[in-house]
Amino acid sequence: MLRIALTIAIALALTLTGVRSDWQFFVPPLALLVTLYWVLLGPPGCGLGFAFVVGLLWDLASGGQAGQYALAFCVTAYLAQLLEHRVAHFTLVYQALLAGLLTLAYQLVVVALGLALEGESLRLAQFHSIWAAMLVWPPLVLLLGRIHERAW
Amino acid sequence: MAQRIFTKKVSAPRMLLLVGLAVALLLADRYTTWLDPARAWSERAAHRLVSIGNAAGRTAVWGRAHLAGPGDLAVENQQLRAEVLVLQGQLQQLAELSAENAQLRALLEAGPRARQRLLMTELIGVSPDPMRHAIRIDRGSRDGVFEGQPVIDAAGLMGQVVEVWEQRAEVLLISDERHAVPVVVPGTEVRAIAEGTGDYQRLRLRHVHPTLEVKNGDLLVTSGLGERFPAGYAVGRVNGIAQERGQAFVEVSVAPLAHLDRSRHLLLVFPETPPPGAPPESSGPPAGATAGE
Repeated sequence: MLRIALTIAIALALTLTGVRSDWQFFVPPLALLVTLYWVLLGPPGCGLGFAFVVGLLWDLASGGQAGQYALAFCVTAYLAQLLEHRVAHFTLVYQALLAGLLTLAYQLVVVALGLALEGESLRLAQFHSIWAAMLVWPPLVLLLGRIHERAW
Repeated sequence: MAQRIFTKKVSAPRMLLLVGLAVALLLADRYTTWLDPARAWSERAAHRLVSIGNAAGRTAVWGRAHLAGPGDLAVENQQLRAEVLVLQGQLQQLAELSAENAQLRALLEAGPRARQRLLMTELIGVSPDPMRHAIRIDRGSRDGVFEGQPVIDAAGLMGQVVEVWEQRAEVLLISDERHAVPVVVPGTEVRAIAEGTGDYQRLRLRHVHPTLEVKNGDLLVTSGLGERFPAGYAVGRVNGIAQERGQAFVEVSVAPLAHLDRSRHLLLVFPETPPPGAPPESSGPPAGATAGE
């Protein structure tokens, strides 16, 4: 449990530190990917409630409206759960594609909420994080897998 | 209850329950102040997380400052001396100009222009959401910072304070889509509103009539209308004018002068007469340079 909390805290800290300027759109949603890893491949306690709590933490940490990311995390985690049993048999490449699709679903929810609540305009650049998520997924799975199995 | 929520079993009702909870939180955050204590707490926690994340960057800065050889320092010192000399020269000119301005205003029987105090502040965080152009600075209510306070950097207007905590504050940049600032072209006195576009390098003026005298390269400064931003701070330069066929207005594109995505050292502008609701003078900024316009 401590290891899961630690990986989430590190992912949140890294995303909060972030980069400036327009490169921000290419930053992978690390907190989401780490959450998805634990939902898909982690222990039984990591389900929708877990994703909701991480989303809420992300809401509070990023200074946005409370509940916005909690909702997006929750919906994405639910979609991930629907595929959960198959993912373990996927190769890393297929898993990366799946991570990209889940990030797309997540971005759609975030964009829809942004449009509805904050009156933001739609920018295609918001979907660049999907490519980043697909690139980051394989090394992330290998790293979290080692943490998961205590193979240090 | 906790076991029912924190389980891996796939369940649509559970998902809907949590989605409902998220929507309730959204509404509560938007229309009530119930979540404010949680926000204050989480802001502190997030700041700690960011400090951990920024440790590497700070170490690099410290390393550069402390491990630089005497040769590097001598070169830097020389550069700084040259810069100070140039700035002092410009300042002399400014003093003469403001004296002349005061005389002319006296002749016109116009009241003296308001002077502002400036307080230096440092950037400590950037919003991780690319659609939200906001930064955090290391001054807060303890230093007299208030909501709506203008923030500038060495080159121009950066934005305004939108949220204040005890030791920190959040600044919405002028490039954010939700931000707008009244501007004027000095000389022709054409007035407009510069809106953010969500792009750090571009602002836009909407509803500018084609007959108005706005051309590429024109400097835009704050007009002081709306009483939020003091008049005369540089905002940007016009770098594009476009009119679509059949449209009554032209859209003017403006490049902001402030280094919105690069500046680390910023200045908070304090009006001489504190705004309503701001703390009294005695609790104001401890050390601030005074700058007249």
